Amino acid sequence: MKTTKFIHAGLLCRLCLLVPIGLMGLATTSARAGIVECPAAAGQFSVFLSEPSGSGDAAAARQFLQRLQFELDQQRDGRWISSPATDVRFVACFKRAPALDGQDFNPTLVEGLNSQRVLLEIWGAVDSEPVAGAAPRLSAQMNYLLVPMRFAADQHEPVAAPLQRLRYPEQGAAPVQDAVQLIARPLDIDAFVAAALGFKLLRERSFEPAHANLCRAVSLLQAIAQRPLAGRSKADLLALKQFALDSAGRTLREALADPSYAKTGLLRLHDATKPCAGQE
Amino acid sequence: MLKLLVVLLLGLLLSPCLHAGAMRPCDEPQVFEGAALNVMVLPYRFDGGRPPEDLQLASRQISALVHLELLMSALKYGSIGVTDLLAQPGQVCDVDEVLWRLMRPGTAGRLRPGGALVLVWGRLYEQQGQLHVQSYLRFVRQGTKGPLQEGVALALPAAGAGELRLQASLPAQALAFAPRQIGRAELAQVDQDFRRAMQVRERPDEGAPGRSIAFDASVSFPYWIAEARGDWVRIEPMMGGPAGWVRARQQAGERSLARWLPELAFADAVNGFMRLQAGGLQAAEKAAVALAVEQGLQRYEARLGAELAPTAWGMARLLRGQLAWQAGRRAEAAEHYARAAALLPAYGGARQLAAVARLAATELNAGSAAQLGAELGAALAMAPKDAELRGNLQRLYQLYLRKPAWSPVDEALARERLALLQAPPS
Repeated sequence: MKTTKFIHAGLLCRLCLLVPIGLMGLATTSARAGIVECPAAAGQFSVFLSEPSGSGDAAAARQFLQRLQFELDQQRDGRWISSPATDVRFVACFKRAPALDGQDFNPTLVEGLNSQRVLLEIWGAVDSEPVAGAAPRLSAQMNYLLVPMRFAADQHEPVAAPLQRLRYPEQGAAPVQDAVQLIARPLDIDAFVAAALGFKLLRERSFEPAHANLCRAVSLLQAIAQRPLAGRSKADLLALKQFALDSAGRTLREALADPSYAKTGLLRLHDATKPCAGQE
Repeated sequence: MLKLLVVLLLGLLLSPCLHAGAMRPCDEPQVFEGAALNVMVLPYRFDGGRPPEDLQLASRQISALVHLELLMSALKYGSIGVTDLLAQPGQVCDVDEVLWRLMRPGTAGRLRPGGALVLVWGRLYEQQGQLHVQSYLRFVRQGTKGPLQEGVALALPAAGAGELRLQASLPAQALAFAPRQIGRAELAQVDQDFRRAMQVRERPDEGAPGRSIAFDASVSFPYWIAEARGDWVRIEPMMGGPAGWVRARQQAGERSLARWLPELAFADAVNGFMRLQAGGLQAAEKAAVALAVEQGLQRYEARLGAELAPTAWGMARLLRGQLAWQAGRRAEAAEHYARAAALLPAYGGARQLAAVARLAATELNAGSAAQLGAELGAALAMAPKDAELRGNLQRLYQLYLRKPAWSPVDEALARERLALLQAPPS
């Protein structure tokens, strides 16, 4: 029997494995807890780690999110290891439970997130499939909402799909017994963060960091796309990569057309038709 | 307040070399100046507010056991010093500050030019009886004018147009390992191992009478390693304190520290790599150390797949590339660097290193010069502040101007781009 469960309960609450699949499916679609406010990190870019809807086990959800936050947030160690990843704060959003299809993210909510410098909101669901004589086989679908893109879409700007989905484990990957380990993929998150931040900075006309982040996003998304992704995930990811590349080109064009852009600005080195110089 | 201090282990085991270890306060770090390689284990701090007493103790115990494990595994490299730095409860032992103190020239206990240093530290998080541990690693070598960057440098003849000089450093000399989970049972094992390890015995025998190493915040406790036998080392104090046998490696197989912290195998490989960089080894010793590096990397990779630890896998490729490069196997090095760049897609420096090494493995001509320009341009797009990258591009555009037939852009554009690269960063 395959049991579907939302991330927090499915991972940390063994009891959930006893819930019949039909009931779990119903919970998935109908018993949403909805959106509650979550405080963004002051003065910094944030990534929200939210619960999925439908869980009645608040304690388990809290523990799961706290641990996920621990795994993802390098805090000062990120400085010590000179990571190229964007300096963002991961915020565990307790009791915040978006629907799996993302329907909660209306324009007002998205505008609020965007103004608080939230780049990404992450949530999802986990399947736990019992295996005779062994630990359950875990799989997950993670949702990544790229807030600046969604905000732009709400303003009727053409953007790639702001809601990206990835499934873990991927085909051929070794099974993982620990759910946080299954979904805490810093490189994947970094790709979406770089894309979201680059696009946000472009809209704010901070051309040089926008370009660097968009080109990093292209490189990271290309690496993800080479993995065995399936179906719509891959198509959406490739569309996002193309959007990041196009946005890098737009960054160059707008910078070069801007009289206030420095005469010695390094963006003048690049060709807008090859905005990331060979990553096309 | 209880403050653990010095375990200094110095010895003569394999060849004319030094072996040393220490426990020291974090705000008074010192290396063994006579050692080619120094390893510092900083505290595994507790994340998440004020830690419960048992986890505070666990933080200390894990650091101490990591220290002893790395000491034991580094003995094979010769001329090593391993130090356990201690912090007061609640004190953050700042890696940058430790490094600054150790690299500062002119004072005692500082890293001498050519000396190598590896820093290991970590953090812990507890939830429902499960302890989650994340380790970090950083490595550096002292130069005459400050820290050296590990990497490659080359000068390629440019068919009658002088030469093209390029350099490319490793894109990172630090690494965050994937967090690991350990349970209460393992934590209890840590406690048991720690208490056993901190006994100095008359003979290398658990049944022999022992004396606990006294931990005093104000007293250093340095000692030599006079002998190693199996998992035991015989220590002789330098400045007073107990002498005798310490069991430095507590458990084998399933219960060993390295079993649930596979990053220790990676750290051992980095120790070997840095020992090679520090020099002073005979050819046979170099080969043995290089083999140990490879074995350490493979032990780590066998435990964590690339999809779970891509950065560590990328770093492993970089180290292999460096060793191949230094052995003159440039095609092999280029292959390792290319695989590293694929594993480290966010690092512009990895892309640069792969491009430079690929060029070195082939021939400089119109095609390869143009390809290098595209690849360095792509790296610069991701890392526009990288001074080394800008320097390489400057020299490449100078070559394009000296040899226009190799330039993918016309002369005016080449001059314009060279001027941009030479301008101070905006």
